[in-house]
Amino acid sequence: GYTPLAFSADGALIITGGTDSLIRVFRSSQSERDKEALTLEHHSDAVVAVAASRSKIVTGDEEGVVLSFDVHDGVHASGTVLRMEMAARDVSISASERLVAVASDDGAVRMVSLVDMGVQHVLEGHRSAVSSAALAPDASFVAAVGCDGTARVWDVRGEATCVQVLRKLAYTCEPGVALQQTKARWSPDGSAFAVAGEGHAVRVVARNSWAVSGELGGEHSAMVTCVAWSGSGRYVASVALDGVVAVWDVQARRAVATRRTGDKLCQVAWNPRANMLAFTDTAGALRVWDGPVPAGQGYAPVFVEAQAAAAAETESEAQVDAAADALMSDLFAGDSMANEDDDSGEPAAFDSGDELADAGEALDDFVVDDDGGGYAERPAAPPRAAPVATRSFQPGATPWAGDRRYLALNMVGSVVSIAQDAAHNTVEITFFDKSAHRDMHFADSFRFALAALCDAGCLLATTTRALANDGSLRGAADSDDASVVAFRAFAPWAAASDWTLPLPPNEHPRCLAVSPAGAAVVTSRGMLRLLTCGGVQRHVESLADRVVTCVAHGDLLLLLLARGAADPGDLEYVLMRMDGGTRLASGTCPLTPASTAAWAGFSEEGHPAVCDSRGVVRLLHRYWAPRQACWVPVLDTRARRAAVWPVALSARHLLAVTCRGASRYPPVPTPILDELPLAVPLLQPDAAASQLEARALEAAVFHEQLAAEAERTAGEYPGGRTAEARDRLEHDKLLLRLVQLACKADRPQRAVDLAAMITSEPSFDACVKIAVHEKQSQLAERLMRLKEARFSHHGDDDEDEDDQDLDSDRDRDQDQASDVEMASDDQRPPPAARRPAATYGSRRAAAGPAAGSAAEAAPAAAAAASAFARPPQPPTTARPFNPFGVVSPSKSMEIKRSHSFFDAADAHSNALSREPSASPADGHVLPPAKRLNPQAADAADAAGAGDAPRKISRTAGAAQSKLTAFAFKRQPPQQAPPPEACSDGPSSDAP
Amino acid sequence: MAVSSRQKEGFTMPELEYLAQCETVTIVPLHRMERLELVRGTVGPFRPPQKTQVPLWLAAMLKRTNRCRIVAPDWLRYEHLQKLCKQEEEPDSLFTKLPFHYLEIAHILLTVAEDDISESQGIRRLLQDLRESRQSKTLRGIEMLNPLQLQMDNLSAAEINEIRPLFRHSFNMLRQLDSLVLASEKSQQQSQYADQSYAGLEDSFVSSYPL
Repeated sequence: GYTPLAFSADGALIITGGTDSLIRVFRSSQSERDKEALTLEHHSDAVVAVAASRSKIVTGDEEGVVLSFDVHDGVHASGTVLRMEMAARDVSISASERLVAVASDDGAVRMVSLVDMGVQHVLEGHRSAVSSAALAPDASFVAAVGCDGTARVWDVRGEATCVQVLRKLAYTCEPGVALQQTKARWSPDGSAFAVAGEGHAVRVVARNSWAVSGELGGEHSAMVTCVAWSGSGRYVASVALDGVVAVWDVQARRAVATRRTGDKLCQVAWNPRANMLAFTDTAGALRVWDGPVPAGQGYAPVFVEAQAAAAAETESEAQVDAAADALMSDLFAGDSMANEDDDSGEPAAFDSGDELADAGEALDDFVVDDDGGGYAERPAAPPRAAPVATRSFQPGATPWAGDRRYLALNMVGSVVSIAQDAAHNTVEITFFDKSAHRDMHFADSFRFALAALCDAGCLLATTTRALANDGSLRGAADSDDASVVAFRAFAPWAAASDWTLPLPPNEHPRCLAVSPAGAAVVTSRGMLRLLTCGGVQRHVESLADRVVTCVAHGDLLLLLLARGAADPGDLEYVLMRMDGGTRLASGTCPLTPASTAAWAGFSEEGHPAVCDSRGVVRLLHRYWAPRQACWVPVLDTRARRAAVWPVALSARHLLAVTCRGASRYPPVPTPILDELPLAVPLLQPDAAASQLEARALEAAVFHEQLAAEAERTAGEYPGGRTAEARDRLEHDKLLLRLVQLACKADRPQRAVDLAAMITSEPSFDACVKIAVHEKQSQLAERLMRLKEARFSHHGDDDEDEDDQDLDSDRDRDQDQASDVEMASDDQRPPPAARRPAATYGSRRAAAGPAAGSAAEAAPAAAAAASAFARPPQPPTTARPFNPFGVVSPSKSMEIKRSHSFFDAADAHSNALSREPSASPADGHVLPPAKRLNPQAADAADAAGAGDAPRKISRTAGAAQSKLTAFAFKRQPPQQAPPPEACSDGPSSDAP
Repeated sequence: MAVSSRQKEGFTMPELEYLAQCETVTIVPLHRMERLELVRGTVGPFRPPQKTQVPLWLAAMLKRTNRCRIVAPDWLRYEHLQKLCKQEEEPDSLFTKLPFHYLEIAHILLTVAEDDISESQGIRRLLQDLRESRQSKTLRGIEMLNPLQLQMDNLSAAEINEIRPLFRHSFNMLRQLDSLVLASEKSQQQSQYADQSYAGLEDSFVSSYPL
């Protein structure tokens, strides 16, 4: 029977069909060629058409069913492309794997989008069954051959139009008989197609002129059933029913090799990456011809190699596209044909070709239009003139997956567009917070392609196909009709305040942003239009048409701009107010090398953040101060195995969807978001101290941001002053722990450095206490001096705050109220200013004895303390003056008795060190069984008893050791001297 | 705390479930709420879509009123349970590590929040398998009961509860007999009666308490 055949784009696989309705996948390399083929049983009738690209296989059968398969760790069925009434005769897939052309016996060619399996065009015009349909690799033209011998060429980039009818080009053949038909094939560069016709000659038809540019004949004596182009486009192979395989040089118009077989040959395919030909016959045999072009002829896959060279130059896909375009235009001119003989197909070139393919896959679809220039943005001639447009994206938007796609996904919720029919989609808005708004959905006759979501409403816009970055057809207008921008308000009282504004013709939205403060629309003509949520146009501004994305939060608008096609690296950012009044900051937005921006947004607290396609999140810091803005990397997800789709940023986490399997996009409905804790990349990430350091740094950054935000907006610190005090305390606590670690490790300079970062005086006092406790008297002295320098104006009125248990995590909640009090004390005017200078001397004299007692606690510090000039005690305080402010012996006692973390840790280590000295044979804590059992066991052994008693003796031993271990832990309290005991001495001396 | 005589014989399943409701689970709130001041501490604030930890009873209450989604704990994932089942079925394996109230939590979650747990049917089946293989292991463990100890690590509340009535009585009886043996040995040593052997007595209690 009839056996169709195709090579995958990388040349590694040969896919065949057959009348047994099976698809077989062979490996083409010589070492693996003899292995058993992979068999796919998905068709129920004879498979008569096969096409393959990089990672897709499309097959059609006589029932009219067209299926697609994914090549990815094996071959998996990915769905039904099309079901027709009559048999499929030929299928063809574009290089971008988005579009499939299917020829059918009913006389029509159907164009199907593989993205959503929707029929895009039905090309009707043939008067008979269509035997072949070939889609140009760039998905621009379809060449279809009818059984009456007429070939039609269709331009399918916009509305499908028939651009040329070529009568009597091909054979007149019998409809419905696969073997009596001929197939047309495009050259790999898309510059020409070939089809066989009367006289058993292969005719080459050039693109754009659509005239027969060459006829290759003289070798066949029967009907030529199929042709194939070599990877370079220089050679064409043809097979015929007389069993002859001929290889032609297209330029020279002569056969360079022929081969005769005994069978009727069905189809032929050329390995796109190698000098290798495969053909099938009616007996179902697949033959592979290695090296059909003789060595002397200099076979060179020039097209692939040139592309690889382009890939080596730059990693930017946009540039690769440009280079490919340039190359294509060269090929059209035909001048590159002359020097191709210089090159020989080196494996290295193929490898970099793979890299190109991989790079194409690694870059995200929503940033890069990889549909291979299917549509209007890529005019047929001359391609070089077309400027490489900046690819814009909408944060949170995904390409179509099945009939659904996200238009927006952020902290508020998601906007999902669901494809219904050719006329309309459905838009579904889902909120995370169900108490705020009710989920809604509405019919969308505009077919919106862009959306932005905020608490106040949802901004939607249409765009043209040319600007729809994912090449999605359903979400984009077909022609240059005027685009619309629409706003759906969520506020219940403002139900009627929805608005829809048409844009002028030739101006289409590129990206949107919305916040309760207003809406922003960036259009294709470089316009930034700012509106209020009620639809009042507030500001119009011209920007360079390089906007990559925009996002809004509160009254801030963040715009990311590309630097231009020539410089695809880092982006520029502009941070401005939503009313367009002021620009707060602008500059370079750094990205990881060879990556693009993948997400932009604001943290929950309102700070701009950008995530690049490698998964590094950066937060804009100090943007409130002029010329101080900098980007702090807060999270690097490159180490994670699965891809991460950022959704929102909260103070301590990145909320993201962890994608499963090969998918890089979140599924619909939104799964539960993962919380990835932020981690500033510090050195030595494994050490406990540097983890604390990183946390302290984060706390400092966030605190600074919140405080500045409060100052900038002249508003409250979020959560009020309680929250601010808590955050500051949190930061100081981390630092205190680090100080303690530094003391323990005997690194005093480190401790001083850390102490210098402490912001509040009570925390500083605690720091001194830690130094004293760790017996670092010199450090304590230094810290005291530092404290003098930092807080001297505060005087001693923090005496009453000393009881703060700064390190108690457990009691934190209860302590909050007093912490606030402490914080607010710091805000008071310096008490020293209020005090009369006359009292200074007398207070100082009264302080004498207290200073003496303190010297006992820290003698070294006391020597230095006498040199300190201390402001006097306020007269209201009854306590004597204390040169240390806090380290009075009774105070340090209190610290030791408190349940602070280091106290607990010490008590534990003390207990551990005492353990071995405790007697394990402590009779009264052990249960009676322990004492009895060894005797019983001994007795049993002595009596020479049977198995059962011996078993008991063994378990008894185990029980004993267990119980002894238990006894260690339950020491009677009088045995362990309480930790306070050692410090009891000084306290008794205290006045 | 005094335990009623009925409870000495074990708890009922609802009682155990009641106890398990103090365990914490992770939820994704669907409604925005401030901190809740509860007797055992504060929970929240609830900020959708950020996760938060709440006691199981609160999670169940919120779930019933459709105010949250419950995040299935890590041990309640299908793959994890499958792994545990495999480990549990290996010969001479110990009890696998599971939360103390795993059966109760799983039961509550599967009743209240079946829609939040993927492959809930498979999980039910695996839990059943797990329970059965652990049950047989428990029974084998009880066969080795002696007057000194019974060590079965990682046994959960419900499983302990199952063996409690049998175990309590048998263990007490064994202890009594053991002390009898000792007493008789003492008297044997004192009176030098050679014919009253320990082995005979051992035989008698083994035969009268087949376990």
